[in-house]
Amino acid sequence: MKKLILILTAILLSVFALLTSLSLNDGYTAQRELWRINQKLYYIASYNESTPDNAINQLTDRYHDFINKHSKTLYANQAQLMLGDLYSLRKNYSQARSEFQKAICENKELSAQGEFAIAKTYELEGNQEKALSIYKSIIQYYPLTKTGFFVHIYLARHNATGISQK
Amino acid sequence: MACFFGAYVKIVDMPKVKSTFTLLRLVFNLFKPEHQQIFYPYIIIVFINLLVLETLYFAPRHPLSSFFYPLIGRIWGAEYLHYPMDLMLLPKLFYYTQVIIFLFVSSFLTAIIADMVAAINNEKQVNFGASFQKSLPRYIYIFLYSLLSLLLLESFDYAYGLLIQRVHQIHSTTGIYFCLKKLVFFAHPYAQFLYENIATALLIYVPVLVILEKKKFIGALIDNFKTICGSFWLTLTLVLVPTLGYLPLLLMKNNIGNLVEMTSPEVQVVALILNIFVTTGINIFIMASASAYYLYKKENL
Repeated sequence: MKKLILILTAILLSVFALLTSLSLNDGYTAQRELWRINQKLYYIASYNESTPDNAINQLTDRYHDFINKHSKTLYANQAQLMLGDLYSLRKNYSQARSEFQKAICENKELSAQGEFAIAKTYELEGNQEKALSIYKSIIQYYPLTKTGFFVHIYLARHNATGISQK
Repeated sequence: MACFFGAYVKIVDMPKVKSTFTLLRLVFNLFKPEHQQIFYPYIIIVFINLLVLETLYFAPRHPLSSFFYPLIGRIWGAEYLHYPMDLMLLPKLFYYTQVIIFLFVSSFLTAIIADMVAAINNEKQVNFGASFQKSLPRYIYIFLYSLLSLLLLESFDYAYGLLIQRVHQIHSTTGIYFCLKKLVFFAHPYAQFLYENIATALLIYVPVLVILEKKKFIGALIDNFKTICGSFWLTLTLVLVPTLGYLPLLLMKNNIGNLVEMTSPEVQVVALILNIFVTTGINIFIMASASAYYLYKKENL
């Protein structure tokens, strides 16, 4: 019986090792890593006021490490967006815009999200005109992305509260 | 004359619960190193389930993704192909494959236990290979049994679903109807646990009769009900007592959302692995108990 258990365990472990080695560079590990860093960000977002600066710095470093490690993948651009969000959370809008800008790439959806986030920072700073021009540019350049569709609804909702399509 | 596990146990009044525990203790003692081949079905079922789980765990990753991407993407949506949503889908995917494994493999391997218990009862050496070969011609009847038990379970599920639908129509926010509504919702996993046991108990002697008495499906079904007549509660206890071992897992399953939040999404995989080990063990133990009880009844009544 021991022999049988050993053989079957060896088969299971070999299959696991084989599938792990075959899927090493498929981006799944990056997805998992990014998700874990993002969880920290969500936690900080919930307790933004009470989070000390060193915790923010640590998270920033983790994002930077991730971006460097996966620099040629879309996950790096996604991480760039999240890093921008982190700066936005701390009201460092100029730094946030710089990070969002780096997320703009060949992927239209991610680029639209980056542009949208930039517009949002202007809106939060009170620069409604600049924000509106960016929102309009998203509709123009990324009309078929999820964000492109969403901007229409977003602007319609905000008609009464400041930003309006003139 | 054949003896019951090498020792005559005098149980004067069979339907008493006290006797059930004696029987369960005897069955528990069957699983000893001397009869190590009785563990083979357990090991093989666990292995097959783990292998399938392993495959499904790697489904959204290269190279298996080329097969699973279109399938999962079309049925559940593209978000379930990425971490951690793939792990949220994993229990569902695994449930579907488990149904197939149960129909074609597990039920048959579990039924072989009946022949092994009979061999021990006849003071013969337990031999998995021999029991397998002996039981193989009965495969189709075991398959039909597993199909029927699955249908029975589904119909119980459907009936409870109807009850939930009915209870949804209760608009009371206080009083007895409100309590009833809460009870039906809250008790769902426990009711499911109970009716799963009832469904198992209702058909438990079918594989035993198919394997030991070489009965065909309909004959085994009729004799199953004859065996159950007068000893339903004892049979239910035989099924229910080992299944109590599943309750901690049920509790874990019901709180999996909180557990995932507190730890990591990989807890889903751990829960599934534990589920495989525990449920396979329980199913095999139930089959051994039913076989033992059937043999005992046959020899003593």
